[in-house]
Amino acid sequence: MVQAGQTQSLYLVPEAYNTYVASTPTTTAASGELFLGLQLPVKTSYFVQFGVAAGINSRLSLQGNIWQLGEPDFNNFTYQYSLQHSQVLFKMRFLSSRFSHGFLPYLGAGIGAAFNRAYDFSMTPLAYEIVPEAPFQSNTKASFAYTVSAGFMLVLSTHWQLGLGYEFANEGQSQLGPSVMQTTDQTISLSHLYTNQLQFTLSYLSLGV
Amino acid sequence: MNRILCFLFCAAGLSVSYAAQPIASIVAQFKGPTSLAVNSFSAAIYTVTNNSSAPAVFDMKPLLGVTQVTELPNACHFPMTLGSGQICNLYLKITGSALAPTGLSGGPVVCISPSMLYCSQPSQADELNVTPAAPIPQNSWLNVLIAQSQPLANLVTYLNKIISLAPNLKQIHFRFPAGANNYSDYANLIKLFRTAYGTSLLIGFHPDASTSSYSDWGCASGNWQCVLNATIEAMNAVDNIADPNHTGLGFNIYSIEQSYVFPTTAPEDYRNVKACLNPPTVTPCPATQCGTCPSGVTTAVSPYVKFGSVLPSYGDCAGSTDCQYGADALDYGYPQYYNLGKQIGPYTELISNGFFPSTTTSCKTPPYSSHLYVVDEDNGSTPYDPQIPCNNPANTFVYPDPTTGSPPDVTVPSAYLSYLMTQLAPISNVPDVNGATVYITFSGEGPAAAPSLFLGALGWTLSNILNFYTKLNADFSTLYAQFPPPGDPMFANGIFAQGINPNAISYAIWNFSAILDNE
Repeated sequence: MVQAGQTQSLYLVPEAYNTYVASTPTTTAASGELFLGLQLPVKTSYFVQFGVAAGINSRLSLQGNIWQLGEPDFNNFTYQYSLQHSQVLFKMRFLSSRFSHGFLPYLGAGIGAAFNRAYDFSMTPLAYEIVPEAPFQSNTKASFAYTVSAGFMLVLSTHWQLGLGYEFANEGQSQLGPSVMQTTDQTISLSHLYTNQLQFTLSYLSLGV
Repeated sequence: MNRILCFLFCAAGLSVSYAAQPIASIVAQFKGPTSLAVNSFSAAIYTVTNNSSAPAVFDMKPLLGVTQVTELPNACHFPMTLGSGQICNLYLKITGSALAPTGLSGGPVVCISPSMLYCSQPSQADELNVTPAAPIPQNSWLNVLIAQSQPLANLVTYLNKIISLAPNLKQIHFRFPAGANNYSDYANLIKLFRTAYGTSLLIGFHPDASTSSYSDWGCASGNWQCVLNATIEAMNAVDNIADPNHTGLGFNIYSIEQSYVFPTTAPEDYRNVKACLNPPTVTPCPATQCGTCPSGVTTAVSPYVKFGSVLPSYGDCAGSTDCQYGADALDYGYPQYYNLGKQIGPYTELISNGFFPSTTTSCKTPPYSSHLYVVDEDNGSTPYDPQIPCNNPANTFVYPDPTTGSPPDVTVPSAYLSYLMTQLAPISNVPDVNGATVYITFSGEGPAAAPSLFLGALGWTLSNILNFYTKLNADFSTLYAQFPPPGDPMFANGIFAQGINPNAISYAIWNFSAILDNE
């Protein structure tokens, strides 16, 4: 589940603003990552993995309404746009082989860089008499991201593991690009994107002793 | 109430049910035409309302072929400031020659200026939708139209048909039925015509003050002063709406015609009616020049209007030798050019050389008597004998329907009229009109007036009407060349010494509804 959408008022031109009233999306995002790391034993039946994970999420759709001039009497458009999130993180996982040698529970955390592409912004007038404004353009923003996770790793072979788990993340900032008609640089932005996701991990591990 | 709902539902992230509303409401009072000839023009009128809670500067997005007319009451003149809730009237002239090849589809679009980001447009039913169409014949020679029937119910259709007939109109006289009270319809009609033709168009008030109209005006039979008073009240009522500041944007002319209740036989009769319509130009005004508005007329005209009359002839004002033109009598005269008959006199070669089409003269054999009459109507009671054209049933105009007449011929009317006009004012001589303007007036009567019909007959398409005028002028040239001075000049005594150049004549059509029906 994603908690996203921040209501904001933006001056596209100096003399007047739009209020973008965000509605909470209900879609559940899923993500996949490729992890390349080193696995070391720390105690009998306990391991730590650390390395680099690169991942992407499924597309997230955000929507809301637009109040022209900031007035609820001018609730004149619905809007929607998509977010595509990808990231490169330093990740660490603690695993245990106490219960099984092939099926290892883990706890993990990661920090790194998120790349959020906001795109496909469209706005739909709610009456014929309302003339569409030029839409925001797409934009990719890099920012700081972190994750915490828990799940199970399935040992496929000496070096390969497949993981399935729950991950909580702050996927960083996103911002749309300005429309061709606006004279300011204010666009819809999110200062953070908290996600609760089902995560798939494919890990290649170099084993240390 | 909406804000309480939002408080409850916004917090839950549910979508809010405020209604959508454009920042400016643009509503059509009169949508433009759906098709427009590329050499024609038309008009559309919208109201624009600022729906926001604060004043703002608005502007209209440019539209090819569309211009604002700003001289009319409460006109929008974008860019302009509209206060919160303020309404202005957007008068738009649409010019066919300036349209894009794809015409107009959508608009007018009005936006907050200068960003032009917050824009509104009319509803889909109200928006402009004009397709360019093939050019139409341009009867630019028609300067005046005088209506005998009330306007069509669809005012835009009425406007567009009249524009098609007379793109160069200088005066339009609207028929006002006895006792009518739809003053706002006439005010709207005036605004539409001024938007399309420009504010220099003169608009005439032509009431039904016929001898059968007394009771409809609420007057006792015989009380013509009461009728005059009632017509002035009606004209004022329309002007209060169309021209609230009395700057000449309403009616400009009050026009009457024969067989009205007003007396027109004594010299002072016209002056007395005029005295009710506009003030004398000479003060104090001598009795021989000025009239007195009858005491039964208690309503003051507001604003002043000029005075015109549809007359039986150019200089002969209903039999009076004292022509009632000029600054203190009629401002405009519209003499009807029919019921005419003039002898051929010394110009009998016009018969033998075929100037009068031989199909119309075959009943006569040479030598042709100088007493032979050239007539445009055999009304059975006139002493026109012998006469051409031939084979002319009693009580008919001789001008045949140009497509169904016997034979169909566009050129018969021009040949006969051109001759008759050389024998009459203003070509034969020009009466002293003391600064008034006189329009030669043809009949637009059609099948409903049969057999007395001319330009309203079915075969008088716009193209044939133009051919008639072209041929009329060519016939004048032929006649002038054939009978130049000094001999027996057709155009008396030298180069238009007494008369005027036919090219300088201004023309009107009286009773044109049949022509509109034929379009």
